[in-house]
Amino acid sequence: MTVARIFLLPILLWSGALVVTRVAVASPEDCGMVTAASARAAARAAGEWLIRGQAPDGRYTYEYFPDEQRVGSDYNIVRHAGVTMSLYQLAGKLDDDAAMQAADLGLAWELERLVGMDDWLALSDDDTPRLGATALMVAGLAERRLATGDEQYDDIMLSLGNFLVKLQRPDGGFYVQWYMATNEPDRISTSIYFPGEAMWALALLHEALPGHGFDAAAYRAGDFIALYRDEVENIKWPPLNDHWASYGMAEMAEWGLPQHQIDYARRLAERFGFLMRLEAQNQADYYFDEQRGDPRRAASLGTWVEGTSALWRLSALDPRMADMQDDILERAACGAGMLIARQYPAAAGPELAGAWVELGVTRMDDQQHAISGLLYTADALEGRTERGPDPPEGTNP
Amino acid sequence: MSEWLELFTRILLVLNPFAAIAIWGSLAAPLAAAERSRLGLLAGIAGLVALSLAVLCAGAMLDALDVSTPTWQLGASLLLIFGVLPAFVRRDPYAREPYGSGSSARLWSAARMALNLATPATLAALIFYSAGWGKVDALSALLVAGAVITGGLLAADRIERRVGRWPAREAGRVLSALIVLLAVGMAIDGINSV
Repeated sequence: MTVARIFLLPILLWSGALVVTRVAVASPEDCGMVTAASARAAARAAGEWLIRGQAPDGRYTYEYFPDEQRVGSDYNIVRHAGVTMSLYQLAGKLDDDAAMQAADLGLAWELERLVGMDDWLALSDDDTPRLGATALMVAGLAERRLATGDEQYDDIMLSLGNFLVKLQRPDGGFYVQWYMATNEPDRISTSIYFPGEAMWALALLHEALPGHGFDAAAYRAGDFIALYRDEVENIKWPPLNDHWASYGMAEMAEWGLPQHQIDYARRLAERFGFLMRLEAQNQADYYFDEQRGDPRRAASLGTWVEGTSALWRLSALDPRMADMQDDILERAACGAGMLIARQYPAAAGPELAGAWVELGVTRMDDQQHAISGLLYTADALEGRTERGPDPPEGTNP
Repeated sequence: MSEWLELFTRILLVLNPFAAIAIWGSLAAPLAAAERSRLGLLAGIAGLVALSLAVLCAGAMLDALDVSTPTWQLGASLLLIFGVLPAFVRRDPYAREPYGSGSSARLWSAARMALNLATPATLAALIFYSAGWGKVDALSALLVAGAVITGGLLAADRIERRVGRWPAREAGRVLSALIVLLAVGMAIDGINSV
């Protein structure tokens, strides 16, 4: 009896602690399965969904509600530029002609919506051109230039770059839009993601068209993001999970990043890792998974995979991040595996095959972010640090 | 070497040698000195074997449970805190009722001591250390820490006779507070890990 009392009480208490820990904290993580080939196949399928839904004028299907078999009527020019950029990435990485044609059609839609003054151009469908749409158009054009070697849009890229620089504030941050009517920036509004988009675009511009000072602007943007942005934007739990900044720093890795930007990149990798681990727990079919909330849509999860795979590239190029490289790869693969597991298969029919649907809707940026994340995770799985398209077959990567 | 020393210090802290001495002092009180030493050695080795198994099977355990190392780290930190809670709520957290001096009672005493070393919290911590630092470092650090603990068990009787029970008890409490700090750091690291 004494032995039973002495042993049973601790056993009961420890059992309770173990159960609570297992259910609430250390619950299983389901990352699905991913290979470079399956990641590229999933990216291609997502691209095909975007291509099937593209209108003759270049617009993409913005939203689709499968339960109602209804296409949404909204549209967003920033997301249009983002989707076009991801199609160029797909075209370049997978040598996909259909994606290239669709992206060129999307680009034509953008070219019809350029506004400008003096030496700058911006992408806008009204008289207040915004930083984000223009930055993503620059990124798309840079991806196109990498994929094709075609320099016909270089002047436009320079003019778009001038707009980004014009909107840059002295602290390295950015005004988010320009009032054409009064010829001055909006000095009040801010955006949490636009600085990262602009930083990446400026880095791409310098890579494509060096000698115009875009590198200095990119460094200033990086300083703002690494040192001030989270405070300025009152981010409750810094650092903000900014995949655009990850892209930007990966692009600038070969230039040499200052230590504070590397410190920021390390914290960013940790943030993406934490978010992805939580999502992997959500993905697993386990107790109380409903209390964890709905799975994140591909537009969120995809950005985490994008950010993580970009930081993997940085970790492969900068020795100050090298100790994180394996962990970052593991986490990127986990995110890509979840994306693949959640993607609608070919058997779902043309309305859904290749798409990600969450809460009854799929939006074009679900596919956009997933495509980019999957493509660069595939590269990471194969140890490829080149962001640009693969070299021709038969040559060493 | 400095990383190994840090790991050794962590493992020694987690195993709380002063608490082990205080617990064994009360469990083995009715036993003769020679029997105390023999059973203390047995308990130390048994606890060490269990902890070593945790170190060696860490990867397989995490795979079987489908848990990443940072998530496990977070869970282990909570278990560590749970494990030392009695140190702050009980007057003598390391007092254990002796079983007597019969042969089965002696074995129960040794078994109980071993279980006080290899608790779910210390096992979870060792699994994390093995996954994070590597099996070789974790095992070597554990063996050295285990030798220190076992030495403490062998000397428990003399220590108690010389300075009384309270120094080990209070030192055990201090180490428990340090374990809480260590666990909080582990939890933060677990959240802030890729």
